[in-house]
Amino acid sequence: MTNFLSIKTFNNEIYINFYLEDTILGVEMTSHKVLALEKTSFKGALEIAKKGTHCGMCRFDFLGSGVCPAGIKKGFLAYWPQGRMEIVKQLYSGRIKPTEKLKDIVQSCNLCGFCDKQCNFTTQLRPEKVARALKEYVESLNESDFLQVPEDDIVKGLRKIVGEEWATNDPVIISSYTMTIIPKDKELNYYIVMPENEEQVSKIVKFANKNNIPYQPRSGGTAFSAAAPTILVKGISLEKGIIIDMYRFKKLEIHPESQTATVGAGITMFELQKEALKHKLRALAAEAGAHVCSNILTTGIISTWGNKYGAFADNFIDLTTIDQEGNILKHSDWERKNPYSTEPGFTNLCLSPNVIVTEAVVKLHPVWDDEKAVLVPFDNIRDAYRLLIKLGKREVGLSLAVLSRKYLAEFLSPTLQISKDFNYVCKNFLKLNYVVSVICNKDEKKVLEEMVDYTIDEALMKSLILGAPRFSDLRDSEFMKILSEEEDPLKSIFAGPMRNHLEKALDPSPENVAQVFDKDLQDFFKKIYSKPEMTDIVWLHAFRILPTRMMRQQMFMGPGASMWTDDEDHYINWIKMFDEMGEKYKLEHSLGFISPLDHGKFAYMEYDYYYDHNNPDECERISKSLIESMKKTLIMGKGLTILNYLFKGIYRKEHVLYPIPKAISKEEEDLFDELIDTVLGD
Amino acid sequence: MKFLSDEWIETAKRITDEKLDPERDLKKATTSLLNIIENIPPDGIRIYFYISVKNGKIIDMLLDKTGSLLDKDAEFVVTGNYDTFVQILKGEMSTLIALIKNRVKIKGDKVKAFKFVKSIDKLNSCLKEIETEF
Repeated sequence: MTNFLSIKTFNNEIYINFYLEDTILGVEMTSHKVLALEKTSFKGALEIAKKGTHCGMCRFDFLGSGVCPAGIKKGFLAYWPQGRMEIVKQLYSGRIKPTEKLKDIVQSCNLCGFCDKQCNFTTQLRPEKVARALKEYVESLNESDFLQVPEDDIVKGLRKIVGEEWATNDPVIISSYTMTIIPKDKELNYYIVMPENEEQVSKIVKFANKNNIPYQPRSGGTAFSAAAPTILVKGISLEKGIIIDMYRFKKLEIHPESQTATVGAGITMFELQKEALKHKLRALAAEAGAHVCSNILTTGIISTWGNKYGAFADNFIDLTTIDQEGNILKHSDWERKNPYSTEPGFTNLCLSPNVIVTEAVVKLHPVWDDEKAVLVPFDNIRDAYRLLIKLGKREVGLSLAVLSRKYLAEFLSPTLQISKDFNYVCKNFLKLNYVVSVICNKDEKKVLEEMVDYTIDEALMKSLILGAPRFSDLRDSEFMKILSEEEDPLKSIFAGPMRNHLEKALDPSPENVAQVFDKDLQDFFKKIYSKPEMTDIVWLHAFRILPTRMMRQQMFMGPGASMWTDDEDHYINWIKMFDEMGEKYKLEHSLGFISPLDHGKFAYMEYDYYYDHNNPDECERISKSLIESMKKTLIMGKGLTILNYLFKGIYRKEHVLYPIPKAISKEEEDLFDELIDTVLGD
Repeated sequence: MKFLSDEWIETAKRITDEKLDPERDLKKATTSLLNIIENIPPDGIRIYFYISVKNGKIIDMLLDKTGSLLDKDAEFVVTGNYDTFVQILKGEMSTLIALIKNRVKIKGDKVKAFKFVKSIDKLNSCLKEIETEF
């Protein structure tokens, strides 16, 4: 049944907004010309928005191409490209109606196109089209279509703390936080507040407690977005209450003499790394878009640099936190109760932070002039693992990891299709299934080269980045067929006579890689790929702008674990278990990476399941695989699953990783089943 | 009736006695639990709500505003905001979710507490039947 809502004019065309069974379907026009244009625009916008994964890369300048001016000025997620995409989805679904604030949101966007460049690099999406469609939709409405949202006592109280413009109860702004802290099916019974210092956070917490309102801090929201479509949403989300958006904590000071940095909760890893590098220093880095303070709190920063630079509380020399009573505490307060320890065991499950970290003083590390990247290719995981752990225990290298073929393909490929073809070529012709990736100094490079038969050098990696489209095209080539018949294709291609042929076939250049992007962006991408850092493997390891490509138009969930490394078979069995889980639930799956920790005694492993976040069936299968794999990890023992150390990053690794967990008993297994049923079951 | 009023407690005692099966619902447990409910409107006061169970039978349900129930030395002490306890009681949030979301803090043997948590939810769903004014 169709109910017409309103008829109005815009640019001399007639618009009809209509609802079908309470669902807004879009904006139609009677002019044939504009009708076609507008239909594509709105529908196209919605399709783009649905593919968005809230990676948050549009909120910092990782390409040196500018950042959304409206977002910087206004702060709230609604004013950023990812927020506008979410608003289109929410308007379309009928969950929200236009409000006065929506006008401000669309007017603040000048369609500068910065977002298209950034988003296209990682996801190949065009958020500017979404912004344009949203603008046109809003401009087509009558004044009477916009709801006035009255200020209530809570938002008044919050505004007293942070100032008039930094707190809101506007449903449109609130809805933009869906999937990055708000579940998609909850009533929008929330407030958003953006404090700028710890005193304000403290007051907000006390205010929330006094008024019996739950609250939760939010930084990038990316971790939540991966969990949001799964069963974990119940434990991780905020069901109602005050969202404390930490964006305005922009303090970033480098202290070269002490090799430390003071970092506010609104600072991303990329921003910290960029400032540190100006002083020839480097931070222990998570993904570019991860926020430093929240990443410390959430997982203690899991990184390929962890064996050398540390993990958990190794990362910082001080933290400023706000506890649940609103007290401002520093780790350096010598009189306070030990803030570095946490209870062990699987019952120490925690899916929300118990403090808010507003500022961290993190350690930085020297960047050496002779740093090199060396990759050692393998066809099997056992040999790759052995080399990795040997290097970890001997402390060779600054960054150490086994990377899977899938990881390499996702990172190096500019588009999703190229990554699939890249993966296919590596698997079926080269038998290149894993690489041990090492960033080291020149002496360590010699040590490493003596340990292995051959390596992939930086020059060839550069060719693979700039020649990724051609490399993928090789899937149907005679060259690859001949190569695959070699006894050791890896050796032939990386250390034998075939290497020159490959280099030639790749024809690597910024021009060639730019050609795979939309025509209007090709010049831009030619310039981007001409920048030295875009093919500098050491830089890419430190700045980590490529991992977000795993979230291009699809989602991934990476359950993992920190495991004791001495029992090699046990470790390999863990990987097999995750592999079997992927097969069982028919999910695209692959080992992500393995990195040693604590002098090679432990190694963190991430195993990734990829899924379509718009497909309920896949989301359900992901949920089942998560629960089952977690249970199996507990039964297998000698490791801590990611769920067991979520939100324990502020503690000493010695208190998180030790004692090494034993396999749980049958009785504990039953208890776990009961817990999961209670926590996640419906 | 008003949540945590004397009348409410009396009704709670009666209804749990009638409806909870010591073996099926409370697993014949012997334990004690002190809930510390904070920020109770309108004045933000704190109320202590003590429950004692013997062989799956609730033998004590006590309320106090002074903190004297701390002397009971309950096996588990659960502390949280009024709104959280209301959500739990209304069945909007399970005790365990409240725990892993850091909405309540628990003192005591966690493994044992987790074993008892389902029984607590049974108790709460029983209390939910009381027409309560929050």
